[in-house]
Amino acid sequence: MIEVRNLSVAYPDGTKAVSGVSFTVGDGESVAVVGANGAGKSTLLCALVGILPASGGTICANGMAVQKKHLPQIRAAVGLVFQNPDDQLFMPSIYDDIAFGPRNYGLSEAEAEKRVSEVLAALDAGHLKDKAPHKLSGGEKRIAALGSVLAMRPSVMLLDEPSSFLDPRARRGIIALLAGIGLTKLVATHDLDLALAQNKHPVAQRKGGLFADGRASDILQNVHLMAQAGLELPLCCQASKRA
Amino acid sequence: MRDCGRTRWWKGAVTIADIKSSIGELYAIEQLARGASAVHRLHPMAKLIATAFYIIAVASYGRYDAGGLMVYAFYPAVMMAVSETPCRFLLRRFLPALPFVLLAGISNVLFDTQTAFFIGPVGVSFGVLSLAVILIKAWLSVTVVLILAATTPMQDLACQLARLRIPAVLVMLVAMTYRYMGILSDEAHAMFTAYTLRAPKQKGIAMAHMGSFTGQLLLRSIGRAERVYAAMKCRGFHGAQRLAPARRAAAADWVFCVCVCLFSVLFRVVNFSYLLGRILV
Repeated sequence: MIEVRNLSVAYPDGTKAVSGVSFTVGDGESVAVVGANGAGKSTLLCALVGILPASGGTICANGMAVQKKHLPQIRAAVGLVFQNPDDQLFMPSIYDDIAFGPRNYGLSEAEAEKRVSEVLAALDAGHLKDKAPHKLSGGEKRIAALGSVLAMRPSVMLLDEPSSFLDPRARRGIIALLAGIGLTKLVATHDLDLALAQNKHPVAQRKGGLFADGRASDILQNVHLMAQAGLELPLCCQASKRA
Repeated sequence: MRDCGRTRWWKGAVTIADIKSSIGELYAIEQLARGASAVHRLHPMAKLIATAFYIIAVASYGRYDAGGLMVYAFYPAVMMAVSETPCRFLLRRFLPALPFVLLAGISNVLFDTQTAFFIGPVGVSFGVLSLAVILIKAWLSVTVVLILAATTPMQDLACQLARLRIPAVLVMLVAMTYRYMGILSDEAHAMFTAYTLRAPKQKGIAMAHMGSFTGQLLLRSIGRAERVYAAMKCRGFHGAQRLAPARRAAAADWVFCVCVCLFSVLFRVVNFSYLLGRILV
């Protein structure tokens, strides 16, 4: 579970990226943070795992306050998938990338290998095991990045724009893949079709502040709210309105 | 006219596209390293030690001892043939080192003009002889290092360097620089493409824009480095990279290593080129 109360995050130059945000993500829930570019979605996710320090408010993840002393446990339980898979895949092969987390958390090589095999089988990506990251397509990189976090067996997954840089087919594949992951999920996106497909509970963010929180049908199909967030209705809703 | 001159000057300059193609070649080494020849199958540590020993033996030769070095061509020749490493690839990769080697040896030609021997009526000075020795040493050393790189994946090499107690920070620096050169070149290539599309008559990057271009590239690289580090921290990284345990070296691997080391020493102690010359002449 993640509980955020009155969170503010400011960059060293004084820019306030997140301001007074509060929300709760319950166990097993799938929540989307939707907002336009620059709304502070990625900053919010980084703050949840302590990459960026909060300048105000509190964050509680898996029953622990996000503070320096708890960061190793929090980062083992809360996995963050970055927007650009090239940021996440830094080892010479996909095997080593997926095994990176388990090895760092002290698993033996046999256990790490077992985790890699399990994850690759679950993602139907066994063929990527020995490939170098720079040889993969955008969709494959995204799957590998997802695998590198799943190998740590987190209880919560934070996904930053999981459908960006993907062609429609790869995007559909990722949406289906995410739907099959039965973990607590917090997805930051401006892909509203993804948000609608994945989440029963989106929250909308505008210029660092949260201003709408509720059911997917109430939020994502509300033209006025979406316009306020700098977004448009999901394509499927636009089509049904036109019809 | 001034513009034309500047254009001609830049025609000879290295462009980002050249850098990208060089990095493409570097990744081509990785492709070669995934081969299955007997050399590829040798344990990385055995190859690493043998290569280091060979280079030390070659480097220890005197500045005029060109004849003694000739027998050392045997090792890279055999390794190249068995591993099926293309000769052209090795030659092409040696070319960038050639200017530096020539620069190191050219002063000898200018200052050491005493005649060493005659080839027919032409006298060969000690300076020319020492330049030839520098060239041979560089060629042999670069070739064996290239063969090592072309027959051993980078991750295996990094792993063995760590086992040789090379500081973990340095090993990780090597491994990650290798991984991220491609991404950096893509970044530079994208910027260069955007630049040339808006300056179609310009060859390369104008000197006036070079500062902001490299500055932007540096800032992007720093941003990228910060995000990569954040991703590493998220997966439990605390400063030391844990590597997969390498497979154990077999007896054959150590036999290879010991043979190369022994022959390197033997060739150094006994002048086989001289003996061979006496038998043949």
